[in-house]
Amino acid sequence: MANVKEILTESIFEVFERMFFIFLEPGGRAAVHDYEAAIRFDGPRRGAIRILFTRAVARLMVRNMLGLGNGDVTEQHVEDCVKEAANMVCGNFLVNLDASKRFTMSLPAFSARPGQPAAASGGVYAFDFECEGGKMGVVLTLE
Amino acid sequence: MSFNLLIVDDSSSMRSVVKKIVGLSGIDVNRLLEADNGRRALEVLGGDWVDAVILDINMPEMNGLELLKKMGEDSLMKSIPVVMISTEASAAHIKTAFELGAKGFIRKPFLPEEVGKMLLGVLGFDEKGNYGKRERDPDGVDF
Repeated sequence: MANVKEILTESIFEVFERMFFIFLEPGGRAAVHDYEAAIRFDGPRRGAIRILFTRAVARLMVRNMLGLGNGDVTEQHVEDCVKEAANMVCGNFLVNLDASKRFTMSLPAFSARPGQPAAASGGVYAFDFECEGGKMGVVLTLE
Repeated sequence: MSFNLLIVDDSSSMRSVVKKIVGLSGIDVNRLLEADNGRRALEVLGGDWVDAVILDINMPEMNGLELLKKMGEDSLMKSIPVVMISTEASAAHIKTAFELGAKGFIRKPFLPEEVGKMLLGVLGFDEKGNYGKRERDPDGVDF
């Protein structure tokens, strides 16, 4: 399923570059993630995408997207931004996977202090990225 | 000539981004109204003059396609041009949106200039920014 990995990676890069002005690079897994946004999808394929962020990446996303100073970023901004990131990554992934098929997406769910994501295994694809001092992980589960 | 625009998206961050884009587009805005789901947008549309709607799909309570359907059933609201801005951009979603009356569809993640250009178009500006030169929607209401 190399194709799925490539499609998801490209979808993530496109969202982060266009909407958050963040250029991600493959990196190691963070010891602790501070926030998570998760979204489920259904259609010709069913599954879920979890995106986990360290505080540094989440706050950088808010600053870049909204043009705020570091001192102006609130937890509400962070929650809203990471949920919207999950929404856009999932939608972009599904369109890039097969734009001719109709998928439905859940509303994104947010949590602070999430547990460590599952390691890659059959049907589970795990990716880790880093940028400007922060890290994030993405886990795609395909049923 | 100034316009009242309604931005409907459950993400406050995305509404902020769209507001900035509108501000930079050159459109003379009288009022920039906001709603975080389709039901609240209907309340706004029932009580305020709105010249165009910028509409997300994946929202709680009433999604964007449900709102489009409701607008199409109302003799006044159906003449208001709607531009969809959504991450759910499969061929089927786009087809449904246009069948329900949308005048434009922009896929998230988007480039800011795409949004400004499409908004100017549905408001009746031509490519050079002249108002009233573009052919109006024959189903629309002219006063």
